[in-house]
Amino acid sequence: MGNTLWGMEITAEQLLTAFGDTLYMVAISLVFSGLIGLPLGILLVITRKGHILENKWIFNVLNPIINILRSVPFIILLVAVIPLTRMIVGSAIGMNAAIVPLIFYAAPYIARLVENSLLEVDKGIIEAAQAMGATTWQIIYRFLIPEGLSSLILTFTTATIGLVGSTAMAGAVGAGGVGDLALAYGYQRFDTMTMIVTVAALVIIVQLMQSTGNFVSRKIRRR
Amino acid sequence: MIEFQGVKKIYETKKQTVEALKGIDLKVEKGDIFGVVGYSGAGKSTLIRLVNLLEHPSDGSVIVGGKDLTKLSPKELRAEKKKIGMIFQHFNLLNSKTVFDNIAMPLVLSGTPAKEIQKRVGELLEFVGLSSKAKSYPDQLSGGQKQRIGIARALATNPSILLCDEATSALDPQTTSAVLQLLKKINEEYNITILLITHEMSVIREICNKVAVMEGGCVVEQGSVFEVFAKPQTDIAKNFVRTVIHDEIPQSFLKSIGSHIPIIWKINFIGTTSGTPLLSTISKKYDVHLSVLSANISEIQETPFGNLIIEVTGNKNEVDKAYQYIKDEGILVQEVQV
Repeated sequence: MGNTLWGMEITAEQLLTAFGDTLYMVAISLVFSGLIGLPLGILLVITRKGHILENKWIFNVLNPIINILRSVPFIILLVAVIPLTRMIVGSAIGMNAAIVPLIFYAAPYIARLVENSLLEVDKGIIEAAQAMGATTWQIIYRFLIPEGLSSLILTFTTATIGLVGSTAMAGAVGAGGVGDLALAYGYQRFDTMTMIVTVAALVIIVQLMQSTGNFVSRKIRRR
Repeated sequence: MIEFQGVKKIYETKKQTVEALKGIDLKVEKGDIFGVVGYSGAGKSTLIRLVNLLEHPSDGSVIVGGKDLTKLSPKELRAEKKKIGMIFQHFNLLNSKTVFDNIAMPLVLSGTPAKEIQKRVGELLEFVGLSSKAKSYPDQLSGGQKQRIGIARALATNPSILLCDEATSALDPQTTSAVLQLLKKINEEYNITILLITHEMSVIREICNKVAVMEGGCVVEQGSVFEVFAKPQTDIAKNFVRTVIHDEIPQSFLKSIGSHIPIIWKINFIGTTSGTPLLSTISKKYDVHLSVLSANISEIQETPFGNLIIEVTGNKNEVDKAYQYIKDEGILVQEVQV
């Protein structure tokens, strides 16, 4: 164990790789769950009663599905979607295999957060848009999203941080990442130093993400 | 220009049905500044939203510019809406966009070329007197400025109708007056028909030429502003008129009466007659004494409109003759019982 650091059982290289793995998993799953969650969140807003695309059917089907997915613990979801993961990734273990359940976990979460953000947008703005003769699509991307953007940024910050936490559990399918190191070495092998360093690394990642999110959101709000 | 024909609006919830409008017949002519006044819950807000179909009528039809909007395709409807501008009580500007971008929005929506937008928004900013604020954000502006931006935005697509939804209710009296003058200017310079709703009779007095009074989902009284101010028929109209024209007998006078019963006349002057020196003529001609309890002259539609409450003392014969004289002069006079 030539390159050990501060008496840890892991090498600096291992730590760095784990860092990279975590960011990779978070980034890829964020992109996909965002691509799924954002439209679903918008749909949840505009199909509700009294909104621009009021539709009982879509709303009443979508709403419980999101609730159900959100109530399944991640570790169970991880196992439950294995057949699907095999179909998509070709394997049920490893980093890419972890991304599938991460998306299943984060997409409904993002949908709900997006819904909350966009519901904050003043109804009067939508009314003004309708009075101008805006199409549904125009109302969404010219009014709803710009007005909710600052809040949406915070939403995605929260979702990203949630994903960092979930990737730690993804170690269960051999996905690697900082969380996995913390569990495998720090927790299971009683390597206190590794535990401290990896947890500190996670704290730093989360802090950085939150600060960036806050900064960008404030920048957009200009207040 | 805008015609309501037997319009009903019913809101249905699981527990109850609410009839917000109970059969409205109303006609707004081209060039009018038509005011609808009523307390909150009277249905005026629903009424104005029917014009650009923010609300759909449950029954009856709303004809705008000769077309029944409910019969149009979504595309045709969007095109029609661009001919109807609307401003709101809470302005409803996009806080995430600059003043320029807010005004440009209706033009952007209809795919106007950037150069044209630049020019048109420049004109509009100048018209509302806020050229220097193009790069500001709405939250950096005062209420009055925000409403001017709202007006500029509503005018961007050169509409022929402007709907004002309690447009001055969130503003202080001075700003209200300035915004109302701007609306009047729009009406005169661009010949834009204005339909406004308000709970303030002073707004009606200041700029409208026609008025409808609403109560409980019905139009209970309508006519020229002058008619309604001079001779309100319903109690609610009288109440509204009283909010801007004070023709009450002062309380202090009522308290000082004691046992004798005074003769009190209420005199209304309309137009040119308010120029005649009525009181001095009477007191010279007849042996009566007059004391003014309350006097008030306001201008409605650029016509002076005065009312006067006087106490008359003298022997009955002379008093009666004086009363007859005023009547013969064609001035509205009535005796008030205390």
